[in-house]
Amino acid sequence: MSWRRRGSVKVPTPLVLLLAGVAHAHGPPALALTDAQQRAAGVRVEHPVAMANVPQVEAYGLVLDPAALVTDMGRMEGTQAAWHAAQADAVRLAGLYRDNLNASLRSLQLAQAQESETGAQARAAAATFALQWGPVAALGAQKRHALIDALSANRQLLVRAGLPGQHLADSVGPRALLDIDGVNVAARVLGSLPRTDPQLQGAAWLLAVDSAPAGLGPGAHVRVLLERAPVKGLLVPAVALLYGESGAYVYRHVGRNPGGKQQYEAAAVQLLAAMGDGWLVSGLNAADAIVVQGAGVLWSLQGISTFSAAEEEHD
Amino acid sequence: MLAASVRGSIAHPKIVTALSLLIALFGVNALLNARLDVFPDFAPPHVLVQTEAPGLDATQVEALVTRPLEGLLAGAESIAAIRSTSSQGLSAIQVVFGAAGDPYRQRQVITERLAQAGALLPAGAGPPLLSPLSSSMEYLLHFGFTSDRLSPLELRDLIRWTVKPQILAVPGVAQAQIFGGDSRERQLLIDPLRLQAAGVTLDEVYEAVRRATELIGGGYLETATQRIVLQAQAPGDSPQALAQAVITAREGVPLRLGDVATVQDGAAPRIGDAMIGGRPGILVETSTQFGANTLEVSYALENRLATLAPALAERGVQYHPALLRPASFIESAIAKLRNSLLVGAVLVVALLLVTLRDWRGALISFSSIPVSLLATVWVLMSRGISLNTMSLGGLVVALGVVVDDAVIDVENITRRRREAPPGTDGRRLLIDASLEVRRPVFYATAAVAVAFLPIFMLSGLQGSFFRPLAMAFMLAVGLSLLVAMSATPALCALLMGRYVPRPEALWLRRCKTLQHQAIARLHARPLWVLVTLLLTGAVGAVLLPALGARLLPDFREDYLIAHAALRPGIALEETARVGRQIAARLAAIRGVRSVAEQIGRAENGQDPDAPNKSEFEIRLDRSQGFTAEQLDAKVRAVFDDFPNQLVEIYSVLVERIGETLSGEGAPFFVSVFGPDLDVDDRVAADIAAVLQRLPQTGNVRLKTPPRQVQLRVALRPDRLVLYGLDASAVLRTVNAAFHGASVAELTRADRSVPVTVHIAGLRPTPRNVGDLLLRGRDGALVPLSAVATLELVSARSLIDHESGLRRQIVVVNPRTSDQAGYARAAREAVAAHVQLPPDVYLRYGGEAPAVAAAEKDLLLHALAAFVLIVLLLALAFGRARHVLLVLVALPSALLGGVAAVAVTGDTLSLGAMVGFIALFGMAARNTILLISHYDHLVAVEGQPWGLASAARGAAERLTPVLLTASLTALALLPVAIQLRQPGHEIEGPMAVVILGGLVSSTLVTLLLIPPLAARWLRPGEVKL
Repeated sequence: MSWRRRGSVKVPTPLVLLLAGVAHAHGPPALALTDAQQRAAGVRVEHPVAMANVPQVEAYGLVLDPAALVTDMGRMEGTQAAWHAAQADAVRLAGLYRDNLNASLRSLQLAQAQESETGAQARAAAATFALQWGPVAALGAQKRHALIDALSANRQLLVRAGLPGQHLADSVGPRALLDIDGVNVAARVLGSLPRTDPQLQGAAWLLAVDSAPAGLGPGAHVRVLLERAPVKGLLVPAVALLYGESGAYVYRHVGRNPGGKQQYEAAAVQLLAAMGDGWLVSGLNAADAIVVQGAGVLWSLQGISTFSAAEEEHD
Repeated sequence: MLAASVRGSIAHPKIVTALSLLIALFGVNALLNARLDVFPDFAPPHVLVQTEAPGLDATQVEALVTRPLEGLLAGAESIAAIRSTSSQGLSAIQVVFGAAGDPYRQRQVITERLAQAGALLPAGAGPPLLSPLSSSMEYLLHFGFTSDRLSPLELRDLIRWTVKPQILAVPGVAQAQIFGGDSRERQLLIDPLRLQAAGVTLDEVYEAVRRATELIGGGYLETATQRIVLQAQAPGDSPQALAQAVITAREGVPLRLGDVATVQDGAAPRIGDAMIGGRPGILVETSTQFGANTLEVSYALENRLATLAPALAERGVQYHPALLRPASFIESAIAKLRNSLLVGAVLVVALLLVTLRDWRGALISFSSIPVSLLATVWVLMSRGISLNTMSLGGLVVALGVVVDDAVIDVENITRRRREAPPGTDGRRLLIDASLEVRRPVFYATAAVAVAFLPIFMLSGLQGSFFRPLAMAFMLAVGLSLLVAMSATPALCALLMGRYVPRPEALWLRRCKTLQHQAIARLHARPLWVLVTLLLTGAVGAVLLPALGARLLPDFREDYLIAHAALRPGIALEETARVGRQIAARLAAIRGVRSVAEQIGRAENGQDPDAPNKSEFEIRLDRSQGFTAEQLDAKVRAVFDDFPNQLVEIYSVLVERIGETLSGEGAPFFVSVFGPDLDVDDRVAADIAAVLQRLPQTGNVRLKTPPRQVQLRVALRPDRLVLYGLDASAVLRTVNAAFHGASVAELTRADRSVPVTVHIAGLRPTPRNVGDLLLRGRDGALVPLSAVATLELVSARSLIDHESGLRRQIVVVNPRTSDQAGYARAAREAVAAHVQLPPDVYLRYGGEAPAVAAAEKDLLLHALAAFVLIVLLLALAFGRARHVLLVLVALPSALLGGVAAVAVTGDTLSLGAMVGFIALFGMAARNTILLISHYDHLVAVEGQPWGLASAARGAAERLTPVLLTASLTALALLPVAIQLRQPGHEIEGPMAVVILGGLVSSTLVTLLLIPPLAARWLRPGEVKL
């Protein structure tokens, strides 16, 4: 998603709208309220709370068939074994030929060709396996076989979790949650999968579910919540956030003006991660008093007291 | 003819009296069954064409919906104006018809034109909906419902499908708009994961929903003896049944809607809301049919609602009546006017008895007043003219003439009787006495009627507004003349045949003595008298414009309407939250009875408002002892604490009149027309800045609001190709995700429920919009951000047109009652300081230009009327000096009226202007009668002309002139005293002007004219 700022206003001609006692012919909009106005409009300020959060991202999961893994692994190991055998045969024939012990050049060349062929097949099978089952491929043979055993015995499930449309996904945490009919089931993230799912067109991870509920079997689509890297920021409620051409911002209380009115200013924030009904943001200090109720009042005040008639594009 | 009428009446007094009684009875019957209304239908009929275009922004609505429809409607016959607003998802076009045509036919033409609209509108746009014809006032009754037991969905269902049909069944109710609650829709909340897993597209889901909800008739079975109808039921009638509908089959396994979506009943996205006393509820706003009687329809509707209320209470629904009730003002106005007239009548009778010292004379004089007025009411009713503030105003103004007609005959007969030697033929005396005054009275009445012609000839909306007043006046005056020529002589013949009157009252004799002395002294200083006359006339003429002018007074109603607007783009919930705060503060005011708030708009409602706009309907309770001004100030003080609101507070009538007269509620506005909205904005900004510098400028604002933040979704064709997506499919998905796609309609016996498809699980923040997943080629999922550029931009929230031209409007609420003066100053300031680009032009509107137009009309027609009156006087007198004397006397009569207006601190409203015209007529009448009496003295009685004759003639006219002035004053006194009371807003200023003017005109007639006449008049032949 690309966020582009619109060009700044060329000629800031303030269009004065003097209403209901608000009269600002020039200069920036005065976001100032008397105590009575603040009480009447229900404007309330609070300090944002510093929090850390492990944001979750929703991924689409598919419970994988272990037979495919076993088949792919068998193919890889078989081709490896064939290659090793061909290598041994070629070495043996080369020794015999060198010692003129009943080995023709032709048979040696055939053995070497066989070795090349099986070698290529083994490497192809290994590459395919690594692409398809990257994290499993990275395991040692013992662990891999232990995994196969667990899968075959239905003690574990493998789930492929993909993020649709996101090729450049950030790293995810070691844990994940599967939403199985509203019940969260824990899963381990074995690692990222190199191959893009043509349907999801995005990055994917391989998960292992150690305590799979009965009934969840290969082929099932499940909702997966992957953990992102922890994020630290200040928590602001969603009702405090406003969106403008420059992005998100909140209103910050900046004390009283010489006339005794409470003054507010817009403070740009960067949205880091959603958290409950709010957002973790950066761009604020914990000591800032931000408007958590009545931000719309200030936004409206800002909007109806002045606006620029000059815009880049003419309608 | 006059003589024949008088003679005939005296010859057959019983028949004439019986006929008069019969006419009075007809009048009473007409009065009891009169159609009562606040105002006449002062505005031409209009309709609103609304077209929903979900998902389109204002500029798209303008280009794709409003412009094609405006093109379709342009050129239709009898259209006076086409105004439109294009806002997010809605095009609203107001078509104002010319006043002359048949409104139903005009509406039919619009309907026929709109029938061709289907091919012009974009896919997804609804059909153009035409509002019913409604009256100028439009508002009928606003009421509300709240419930602690029912959910907003259930409450709206109950009101929408159970109560609304009963409201619309009340004769005269044109429309019932519902604000608040939640509109039920059957929702399919698509789970994108399940949809993806199933490998089906949204279009396949839409099609499955349509198939599942389609109802196809079953036909019938015909046996040998029976015909049995097959009653087919739609399969997807319940959420559960709809969830079972099959989308497709995969390898023999059916895929159902429930497999990819949750099916439930939920609330449609809100376009409006309502608060009753700060609580969420349902606000129902009804409007009257064109030409309906507001009072009658209000009563019928209230009765219907009262019968429904107990059943609703059993279901836990509280009924809040009369949140806005224009009928209250009618009742109050009529009751107060009736009371004032009754008090006036009692005072009139008392004065007649005291002055005439005889019950017969008092009875005859008094009886002719109700007979004339009742006959007028009868004629008005038979012509289909309602009794309203304006027509009643006409009757009030006519009182002066009617009273004069009633008195003048009786007084002349009584005086002649008193002076007649014994043995005089009583019948002859009656005829002579009646005819002596009747002839000049005929011309005087004609002069008064001519004086009212300018009002009758007022053009445009002002004409529609004031014509009933002029018509009522002219009718009353004409019928009064008829009564004076028939019923009064007949009654005199019946009751005063052999009657010998008692001597004149002592106080009248003393008055005559004083008058004689004054005339003798003034006769010695004729130049001084002439200068006084001319000077007072000049002072009156000069001061008159200085009073300031305004079209209508402040109506003191029991309701205030506050239009409030937050910044466009604000969330509906925030508008509601602020509204609750305001409502709580308003409700805490002693003197405020109820507060209701409508937010945004209703489906196919009259006001196409966005969620940033709300309207507070504040019901005042005057029993708490506060005046209208005090309560108004308290209400304004509450809104002052909410500086983020654009607030305009009006009484209901002023709001409706302003809206209807100019399409704009404010007293003054400048429309800036031009093809480039940004240029229009800049010009409007310059105008606003210039006007702000004027000392009397109050609030200034631009009607078309500032831009609002929008998230622009710009599809990228190269990326669409890459992922195998077509643009319309993407937009349909966006629509389903963020609005809900309406794909079918479930129709039951008494209701219909839309079936909508939504995409579940999306967080409604701009940042998350790009995460929306689209189904690309071969079923691959693609986020929206991959195929579109998303950017937050500021864009138009509303585009306003008039006659197809884009416009921006600068709206001003001047802090002065002299609206006309302010308008002049504003125009001059704008002309001096604002330079207009080539394609831009301005149009001024509002009350002040309307007053100016009315003044111009009045001036032109008044000049014509003046010439007519001069001709009439020339015809009557045949002598230039006579005519000149009448004309010289007239202007000085104005001074009293001007002084009275100045003393009361009022301005020159059109009501007061009408008072001046009536005053002018009454002054002319007094002078005409005096001069004609001089002719009578010289020509008939053979008196030599000189000071003695002039003094005698004046003394003989003193009693009727004083009596008429006193009676008129007493009749109008209760109205004038209650100038600031509700219901006297139009008649009060008239009464004040007439009262003040009566003083000056009486003094002029009785004291200044006789010495001048003695010097310069040459009375002789009786022509009158």
